[in-house]
Amino acid sequence: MNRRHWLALAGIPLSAWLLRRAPTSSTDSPITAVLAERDLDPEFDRARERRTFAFPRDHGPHPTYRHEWWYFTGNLGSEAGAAFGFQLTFFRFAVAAQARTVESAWSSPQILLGHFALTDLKAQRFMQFERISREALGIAGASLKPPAVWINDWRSALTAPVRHGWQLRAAEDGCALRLDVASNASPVLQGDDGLSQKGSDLGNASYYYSVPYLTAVGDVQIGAVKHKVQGRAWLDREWGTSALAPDQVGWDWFGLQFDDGSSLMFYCLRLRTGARDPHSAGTWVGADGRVHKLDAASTKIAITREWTSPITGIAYPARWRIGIASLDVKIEVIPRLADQEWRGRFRYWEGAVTVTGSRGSSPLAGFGYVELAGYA
Amino acid sequence: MLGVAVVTAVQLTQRSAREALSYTERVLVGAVTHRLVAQDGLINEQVFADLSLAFPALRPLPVLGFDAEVPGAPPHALRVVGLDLINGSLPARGAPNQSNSLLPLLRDPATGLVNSKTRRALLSNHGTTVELQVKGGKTKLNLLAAPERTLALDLPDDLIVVDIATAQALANQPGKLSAIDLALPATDRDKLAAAIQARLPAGLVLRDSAADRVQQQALTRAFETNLTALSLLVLVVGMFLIYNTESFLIVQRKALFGGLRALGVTRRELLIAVLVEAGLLGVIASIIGVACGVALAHALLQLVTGTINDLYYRVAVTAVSLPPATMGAIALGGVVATLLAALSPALEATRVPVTDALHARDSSLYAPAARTWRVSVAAALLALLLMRLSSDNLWIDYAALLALMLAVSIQIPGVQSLVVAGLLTRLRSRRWWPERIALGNLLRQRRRVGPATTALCVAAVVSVGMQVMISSFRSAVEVWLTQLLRADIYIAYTDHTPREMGESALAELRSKLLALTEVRAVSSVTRLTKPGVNGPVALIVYDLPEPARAGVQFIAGRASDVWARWETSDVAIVTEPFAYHNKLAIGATVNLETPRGPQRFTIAGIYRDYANERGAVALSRPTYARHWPPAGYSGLGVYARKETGIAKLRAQVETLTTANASLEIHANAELRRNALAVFDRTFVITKTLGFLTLGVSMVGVVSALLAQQLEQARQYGTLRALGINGYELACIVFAQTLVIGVVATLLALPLGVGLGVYLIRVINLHSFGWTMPATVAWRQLGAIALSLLGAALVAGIYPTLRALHTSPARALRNE
Repeated sequence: MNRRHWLALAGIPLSAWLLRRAPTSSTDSPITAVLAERDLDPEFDRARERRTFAFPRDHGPHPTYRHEWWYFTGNLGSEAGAAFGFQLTFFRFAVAAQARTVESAWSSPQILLGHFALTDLKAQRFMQFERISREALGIAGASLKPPAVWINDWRSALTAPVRHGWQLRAAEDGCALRLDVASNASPVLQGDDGLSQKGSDLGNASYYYSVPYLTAVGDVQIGAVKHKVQGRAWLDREWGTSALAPDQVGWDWFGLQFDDGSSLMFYCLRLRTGARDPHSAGTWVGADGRVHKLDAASTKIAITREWTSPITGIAYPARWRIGIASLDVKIEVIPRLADQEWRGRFRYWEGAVTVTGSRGSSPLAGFGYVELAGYA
Repeated sequence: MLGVAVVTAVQLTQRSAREALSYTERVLVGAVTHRLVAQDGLINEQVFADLSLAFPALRPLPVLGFDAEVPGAPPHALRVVGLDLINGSLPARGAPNQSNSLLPLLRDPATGLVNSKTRRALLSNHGTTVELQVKGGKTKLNLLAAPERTLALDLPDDLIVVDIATAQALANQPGKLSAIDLALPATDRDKLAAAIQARLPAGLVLRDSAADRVQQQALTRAFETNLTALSLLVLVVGMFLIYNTESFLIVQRKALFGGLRALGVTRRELLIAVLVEAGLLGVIASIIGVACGVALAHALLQLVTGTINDLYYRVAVTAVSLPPATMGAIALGGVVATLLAALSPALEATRVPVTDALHARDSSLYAPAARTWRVSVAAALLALLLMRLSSDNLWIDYAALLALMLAVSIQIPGVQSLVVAGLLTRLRSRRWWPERIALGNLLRQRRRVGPATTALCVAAVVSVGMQVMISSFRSAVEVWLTQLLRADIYIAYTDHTPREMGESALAELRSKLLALTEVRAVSSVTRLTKPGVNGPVALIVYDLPEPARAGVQFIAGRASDVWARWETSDVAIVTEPFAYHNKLAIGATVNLETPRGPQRFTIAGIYRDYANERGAVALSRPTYARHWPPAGYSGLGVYARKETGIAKLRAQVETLTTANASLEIHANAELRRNALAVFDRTFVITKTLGFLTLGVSMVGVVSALLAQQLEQARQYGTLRALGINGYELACIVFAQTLVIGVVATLLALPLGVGLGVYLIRVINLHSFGWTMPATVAWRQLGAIALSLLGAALVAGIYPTLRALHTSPARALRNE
């Protein structure tokens, strides 16, 4: 008979407000959001110098750096003619370099954020799901042996270390992805042997490698219908403790795979002035596996169309013409679906694209993924 | 203007209170549909992990909540709630780099988030750290105020939000949770709940928050019921006041109107002019009224939120909010009311014969009595019809009430005239001449005086009615509590959910208590929610030893019959609201889900209970044990042997419970006092509004009497010229105001008691389902009566002074 019990009103869930979908006006991608914090714990390691990459070890987590991601994207198709784009991303962020000195299984500073998206091109639908969890009680985490990262039953785990093969699993609300992706080629070290400088300050960099040409086999389920699919996937791996420079607002990232076996990665850092940051960079990997470094000067990118989201009102570039004079490459990049905008806690555009064009006299065609972050 | 102010204030308060409640609901219950708790003790967090992995889409939310105090400070309970600030995330808004200011919650070992008011209150002026007393231990906590506009909601007062890891450390409960909240999707909700329940280890229960939500709606309704009643009655009083003021304004200028008519202004033109003026006045007054109302509402809202905080959770809604449309509607209502009220006096003004008007002779006519009777009879019939129609619909109840009030109030001027006429015939003697003049004035000016009396009377009826309802309710609760609380000492978990501390703190304590020689008996209670046929049912499991049984007050069913079958057969006793809402009688059955399927329990008795307006079903512990796995305890009652001193027993109980800081011990009297204190605070708002109504109408009465008396200035001048002295003049004036006061009081007392009975028998029954005997607190009614008479006397002071200070010559010049 305590006072709050008087009308038997005890026991109302107090935590419920956390479950509410909070109205956010964030225009950032998860990465720009975490990179926006400049006052970083000095105890974090930083990407200051070149390092020796070793696999499969480096497929696993690097928890002494503030952030890290496993970024799988790809274009899939079924024999029956269904076509899909998919994104399965695991972000790891640490809120501090050290765990709190409290006796609790929840004291880990490591947070895992998962983004899972399916673009159903036949139905012209883009489905997006997000999960977030701290590394606690085994519910979410990233492990080294074997290299794996998971949030509940969303999971990417290295299955065949030698061939760089992963098992990808994600399911939510009637959508499911079960995919085995593998590549025989070695990972491509981006930037300066894997040290990717993002600004002029020392340490304002990350370690960055890609596996740009993964063959993918598995199935995609939407509702009751299961599609047997195959296609190509891309893995981007990056970790570091950098922040966006004050004059940088975001980036456009391209990961394009051509039918002849070659691939192109280019990220274009955008400055507040609208200009392109000179630290923008990329790589061309030929069908023979030869790697060509690209920089801001050698790669011309023209935006030929814009798309404005009817929901958020944000205008994104929606078609590009890319020219690389040194390789005699001229291509046009076209979104496979205009609306592949993330509208959850973070707002960005990440979607499947088609590429057509030429290299020298031979035609080039393929698919890929584009990420547009930091638009408002 | 006052009328509009009060209506605005009530509307504002009501709306803001409603918003406060829906805000609370939204914020605190939100999407959560179920809460998982341990029946006795905390939940092992491994359950959380297992649930998360078994139901990946579930996204459960871990909770560890406990009370804390600031040592040395006056007792002020703080609630610390540990949540997973990552899974589900803080509901931040704005750019993430703004919410980065909240990162210390996740980085520091002991940082909590509070609203800035609580932060100021807790930190006084030094530093950022507060020392807290948590579960018997002291700990330091760094307080962070949520930066403005970072969170998508305002944190309630006295609530400290911490990360779940911090909470486990502060409470020294690593690996433990007090609850797990779930938001189950609407589709397949019951199936999923059953699947979850099936996976739970023994001792854990999944509670449907819908049950809690229904209770909140009932409370919301109760609040609105109270406030709506008052708001409508205030409106009635307001109309009378406006009528009064308007007629005063017109009567005062009768000579002017007569002059205008003599100069050739037509009746129509005059009518339009008067109405336009009334309209303009109405507009100005309404605007001022709305503004005053907003100010008044601020004060009232404090009272309302205080009640919510007591009954509900700690919530701070201090902003008064009313959309401009509603404000406009109220203002428009004021203007329309002014016009309506002005219509009759305005017509009167235009009908004044030019000659009469120029001579400023009073030409008020007796109102045709037959018309008011017809209206009265029609309204009374309507009220009866509505009462017959009404079963559970509060609006019909109110409509009936209003019709009844109309029927009665319209007769008040007539009754007053009868009284006055009666007095006139009685006071034939010469020495009563001043009084006879006074009564004659009243009779002649009954159309002026009538509405004033009516307003005063209606307001007094409302006050008396509220008073009767509240005091009846309070004494019923007091009687109920006194009889119910039989044990000498009560022990319960601090937060009253059957959980907290160890695996079975109360079970252990119970066996220890039974072993004490000083203890005669130990009763126990377990509060649960079980699925029933029509949704969740509040189930109470009792161990009622002999001395405890006398505390159960049966409204239906014989106690001896009930107790004979109580433990051995499948009988249940239900609370009065439960029986009322479900239309159940003795012999009917209650269907409850048990692990072995649905089970019927025969209702052997219906007992009085004011604790839960939704009602509850009670079973004996042996009966419960025949159908369900054993449940833990929510509370214990300890009965001392006659020769044992309570203080000594209490000391013993305290020794036994020292290890358990989550247990609270209350002596019988203490508990009753606490419950009644909450009761009193619940009705502060109602009482305040009742008195406000009375206050407003008193102002109205004073002004009406003033107007009426000022009209008499001429007559008083004549009398003065004829040589009456000041005392005699005062007699004339005060006799008039006193008659009004006495008539209003005499009518208001019985009518108010009637209203109180109606509120108890009809409105309370329909909204809560509980009955109570009507009791009249004569002292409070006496106070109301005295204040009415006082107001009547006060109204006489100024006219007397004025009449005395006006020279007879000047007064007569008007003749």
